[in-house]
Amino acid sequence: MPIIKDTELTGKRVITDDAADVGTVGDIYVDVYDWHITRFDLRVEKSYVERLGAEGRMLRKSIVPIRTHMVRAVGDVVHLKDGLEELKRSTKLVQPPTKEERPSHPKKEAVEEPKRATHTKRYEPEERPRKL
Amino acid sequence: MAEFNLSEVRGKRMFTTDGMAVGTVVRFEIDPTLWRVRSLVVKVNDTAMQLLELKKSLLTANEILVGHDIVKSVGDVVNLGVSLEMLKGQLAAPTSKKQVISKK
Repeated sequence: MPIIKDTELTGKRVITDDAADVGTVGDIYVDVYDWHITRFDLRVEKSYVERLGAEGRMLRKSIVPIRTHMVRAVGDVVHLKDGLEELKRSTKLVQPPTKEERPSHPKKEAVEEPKRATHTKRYEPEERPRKL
Repeated sequence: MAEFNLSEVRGKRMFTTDGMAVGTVVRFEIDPTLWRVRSLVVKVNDTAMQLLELKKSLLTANEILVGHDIVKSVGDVVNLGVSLEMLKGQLAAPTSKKQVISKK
């Protein structure tokens, strides 16, 4: 396979193994330690947003991260190893949990601090000890 | 592990070990079988063009390919692990501009 420019890869259509045209390649992420491409963003087509379990956005396209080991080949399109169902399952592992999925931590009950005992005795004028 | 979005690295200035500015990163060359960035395409600035003794071209962009193996670090800028003289040494002839400059 020839060497390609990153600009050529961005925008390529992404096809699943069961022939679903799920979207296009978005941002590409690289680990600059060894310059290995770790993942890219899949800009999901509107019709597949719900089926992939991606969060819908009003103005921008929904994004699903795709790990590069999930890619079978890159040519005119990016061909994934998995079908739509497997893709949904595997991307869910990569995505951060949604608000509903996040474990809710019980709120700590406010514990009243014990009032500080005041040890200072207030002397009445007639009680005040005389200075020697 | 420092993970960068490629579009974040694009546009960063590149410097040699002797503090000379080479130019800016404009593109990347990717090997899709290994999923690795093979080289960084750098648009060389005018001063570096003279120092590297590269001929300016009006028709083509003044770009060189820098292999990832000579990149030392990436942050606000891209630091190379070689000096400008060493970089010049790797560019044997002006025709080899499209040749990837990497460790020999």
